[in-house]
Amino acid sequence: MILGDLLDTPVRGPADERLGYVVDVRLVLDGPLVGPLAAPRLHGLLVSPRTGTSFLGYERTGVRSPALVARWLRWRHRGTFLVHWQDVAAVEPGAVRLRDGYRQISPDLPGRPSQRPDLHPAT
Amino acid sequence: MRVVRALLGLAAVAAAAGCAVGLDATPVDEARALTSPLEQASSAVGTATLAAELLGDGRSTAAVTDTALLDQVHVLQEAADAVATFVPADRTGAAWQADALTTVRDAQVAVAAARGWANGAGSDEGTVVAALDASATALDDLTATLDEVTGE
Amino acid sequence: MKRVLGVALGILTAIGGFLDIGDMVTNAVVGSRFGLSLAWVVVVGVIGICLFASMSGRVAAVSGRATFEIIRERLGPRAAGANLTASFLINLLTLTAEVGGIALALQLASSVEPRLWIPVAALALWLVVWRAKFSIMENVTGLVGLTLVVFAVAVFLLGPDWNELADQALSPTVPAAEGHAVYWYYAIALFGAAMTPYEVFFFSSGAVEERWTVKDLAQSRMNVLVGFPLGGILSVAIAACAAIVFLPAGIEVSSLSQIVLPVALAGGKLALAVVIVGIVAATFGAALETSLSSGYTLAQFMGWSWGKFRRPAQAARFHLTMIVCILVAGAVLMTSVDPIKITEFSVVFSAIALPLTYLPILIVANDPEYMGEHVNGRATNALALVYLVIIVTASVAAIPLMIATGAGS
Repeated sequence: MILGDLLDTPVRGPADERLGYVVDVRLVLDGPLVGPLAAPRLHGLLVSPRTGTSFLGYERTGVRSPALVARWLRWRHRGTFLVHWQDVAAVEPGAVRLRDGYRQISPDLPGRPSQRPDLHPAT
Repeated sequence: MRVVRALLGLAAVAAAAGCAVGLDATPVDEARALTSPLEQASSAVGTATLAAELLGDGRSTAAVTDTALLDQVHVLQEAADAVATFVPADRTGAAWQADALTTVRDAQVAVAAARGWANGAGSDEGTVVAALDASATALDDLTATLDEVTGE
Repeated sequence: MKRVLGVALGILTAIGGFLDIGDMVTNAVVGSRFGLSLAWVVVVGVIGICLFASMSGRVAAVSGRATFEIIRERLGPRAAGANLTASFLINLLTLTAEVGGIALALQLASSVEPRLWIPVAALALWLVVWRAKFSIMENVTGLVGLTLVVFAVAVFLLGPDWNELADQALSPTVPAAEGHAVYWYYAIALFGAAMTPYEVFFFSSGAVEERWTVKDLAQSRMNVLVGFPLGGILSVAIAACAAIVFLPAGIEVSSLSQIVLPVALAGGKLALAVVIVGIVAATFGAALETSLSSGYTLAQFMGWSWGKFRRPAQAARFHLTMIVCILVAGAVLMTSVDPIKITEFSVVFSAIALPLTYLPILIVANDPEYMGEHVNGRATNALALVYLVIIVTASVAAIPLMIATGAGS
């Protein structure tokens, strides 16, 4: 499976109710070391109730400007939640099905964006 | 849904057919349709006069004036086409069309003569500019007549 | 001292590089039909391009990424692909218009028909793109293009009624002979001519070519904020020349040869020679910029190696893209289409495509992950949002107005 199969796919709950669309995936780097890097692991899917279009980076709560664009994108994606990959029961063509008792987790990415030392002189 | 689409299609065809030939064209519509190519021709003759005078005064080069005149030959051709393809609804319209066609053709002759002079063939500046002026006056007169009809 | 020279050179090339065939034709057409009553649009457009170019230049200098690398990263391949297709095609249209402009300008110099000049222009274009150093190419066309200042001189020599010109510019009204829809259609065309997307692709990729860093930000901002407004004044001067000579005579501009007549009237043969040199330089410079932009956009989207700082063999696909685009532009022109018509369409389509590049740049210019402490300030963002509204409105209104007015006829 490739990421392109998942993005924009409708998501359905255990009782076949419509929950929204996959707009993004979250990866964590906590697998066994492969060379210098930890292997990435699929942590979960971001599900937006109304639209399959991109969040354009505004899922990071620290990014708020320009205000109009940020507000509009957040409004379009209101109700977006994260589900753990373990809560996905099946990925079928045209639908992602969640298992009974799945949990909706806040999608916020709090805190400061990853720092680039060249852009952030030591303060 | 299919029926709606078919009906919309029919409506579009009917509308297009209605526009095709000057059905119900009033004299005002006719005059207006002829005014626009006449104005185009006036603009061409005005440009040609300016280009010819500049060359006569030594302010322009032969190449620039030649190019300017050539471009205006094309503009006049467009105007002549517009007048020639116009379909008049009655005799008045037909008479206007004939007048317009003659005037635009005269303008073509005047601009072509100017271009000949710019390239060193025959005639002199005075004659060329006089012909262009006469053509401009004729175009203005006809446009004025039509403007009276349209009330503009 | 060297620094001062560098700044001066940057500003001068920005002035000379601002004008292209789109600016010249649109301003002259508008001047002959509407006088200076649309001059305010040039002001709006110039402020817009200053804002847009300084944002994209800052993004390029800080993040080291050019426009389409960012668009691909932020929008993902599918949306960015649609964006690329539209931007690439419009850039190709602009390139075609510029090559046509070179041929028309050479016709003015020689009275040899433009179709014979097109292969020459295309070959010269390719040779410069292939061989010349980026900075030399930029500076030479920019500096020679400065000779278009003669349009501003001509306005003074024509001795116009200044009160009337000021009146047209400051209390704009739609002339009696023209409808409101046509007025707004030309407003959009003028806006698109001032804010052509290629300027931004070129500006941001040029920043990477010239290896700008955060240290060069002040100078680049200076080039843009001084150079572009002065270029805008030249645009208005072209419109003013047409307004002084053609508007009272009821002459409508439809060819490049008409654009130079007021200059001949004002300054004679010498001024005429200077203005033709200027037009050749401006269109040639813009043709170079659009050729490079076609290579930049496609290569950046595809992740190919790009840039004139690499030898052509190391950026083969980048160079191949440019060759193909130059050939296509030449081939289109050899069908005897009127380059002026292509120009008129290209500026309107530029306005239509503008949101596609403006919005991603605006978003990234606000993204601390790319920009660190160099994100947009509050004032910039306020202005940027106003322009977002203007740009989207112009883009949405353009096609309906184009249909309603028969492309302004």
